[in-house]
Amino acid sequence: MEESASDSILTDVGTILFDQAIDDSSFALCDSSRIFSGRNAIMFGDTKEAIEQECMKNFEFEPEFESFSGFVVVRFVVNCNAETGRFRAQTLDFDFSKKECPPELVSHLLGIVKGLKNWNQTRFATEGSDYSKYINFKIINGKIETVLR
Amino acid sequence: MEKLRPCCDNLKLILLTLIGMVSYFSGHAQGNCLIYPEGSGERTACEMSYRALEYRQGSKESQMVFDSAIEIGPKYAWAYYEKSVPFFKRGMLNEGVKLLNKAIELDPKRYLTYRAYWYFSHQSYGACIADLERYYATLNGTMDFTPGGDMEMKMLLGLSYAKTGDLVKGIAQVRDRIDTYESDAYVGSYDYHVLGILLFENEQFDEAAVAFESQIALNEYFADSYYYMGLIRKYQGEEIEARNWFQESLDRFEGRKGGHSFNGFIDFNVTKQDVEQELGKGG
Repeated sequence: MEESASDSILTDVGTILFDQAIDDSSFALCDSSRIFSGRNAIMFGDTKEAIEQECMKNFEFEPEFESFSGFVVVRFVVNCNAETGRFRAQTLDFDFSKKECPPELVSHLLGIVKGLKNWNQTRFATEGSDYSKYINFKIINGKIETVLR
Repeated sequence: MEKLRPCCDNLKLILLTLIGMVSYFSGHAQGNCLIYPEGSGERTACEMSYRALEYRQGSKESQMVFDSAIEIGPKYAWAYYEKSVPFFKRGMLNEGVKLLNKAIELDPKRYLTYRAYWYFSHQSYGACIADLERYYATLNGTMDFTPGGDMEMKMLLGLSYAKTGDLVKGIAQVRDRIDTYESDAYVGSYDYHVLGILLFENEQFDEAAVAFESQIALNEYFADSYYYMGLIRKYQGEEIEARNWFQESLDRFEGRKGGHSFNGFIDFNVTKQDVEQELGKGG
């Protein structure tokens, strides 16, 4: 799910608008007036390391991944009920320029992110609000080297 | 290696923090619009950019004002830089770097370190090195700090060299910065800790211990350095002393003894889990 055309409509930076063509319509925002961003407002699991551990556990290397080294950045929204939706992926080189990536790898990583369920709002979050979040997979020869967030 | 000088009481730490903040803000702050000729695109863009700052960072309102400023004054670098900031913070790295690249094209000496910071944050160490080498060596850049003012950029350069396999060069970069300080009051908040990390990675354990002890003398509340002291003693076969250091580290990770940690070292971050693991293994 590359960046959607609807995301080019002027909004707050990082807002992910609903795109009927690619988004699950059952995912609902708690407050449609604004999606907050807050790197420290949303956390996965109990520790900072939990997300990397979970992603690594669920990653299954395939030979078609091997040609890619770079970043796969997945952005999404976590609503006030800790549900996730509106996933967008972008594949980059190490200088942050766009780079082609095997679609199977992108699809696999998106599936991993969609499968993450243990999201929590931290003390920095505003109750009742929805948040945009991103996970950056650093990929070397098709394998996850680090999960950055 | 001669013993590093013991450092700073709390007053000097505060002074150092302020110096770091002044250095950062003077390096990336918007500046005085009057330096641009009256009626010029740069002057108008500069004045408009002040208005953009009245809106919340990353808001569509602020972005619209920056767009207008850029249209009127396309050579006003600061507008591209400031417009890029929320993109980086929110994971839109390609969009952010496209804007920042324009700022760098117009004024590389002022904005290279900001791009280097984001490369380091995302573990793109080769790109970080390229930017910082250009900044320091080619452009003769002066001291500059990470956006939070926590570390001078030579710390990031040193750590980046370490991650690309050149520990000796990394150590040299950090020592080079520490040696330029006129007095202990200017030593960075984590300079000795970074030096200690690199010496430790290069298995120079005695020198690393001196560096970490200097860091602890500067800031006894910083948990990470105690962890490394534990590792050093463990590798030196001092099991009991190692365990004591790990316990001191854990105390600070858990907020006791006024403790805190810092996660700006990226690949060299220490976590509470790391410490607990060492204590669980018996130190």
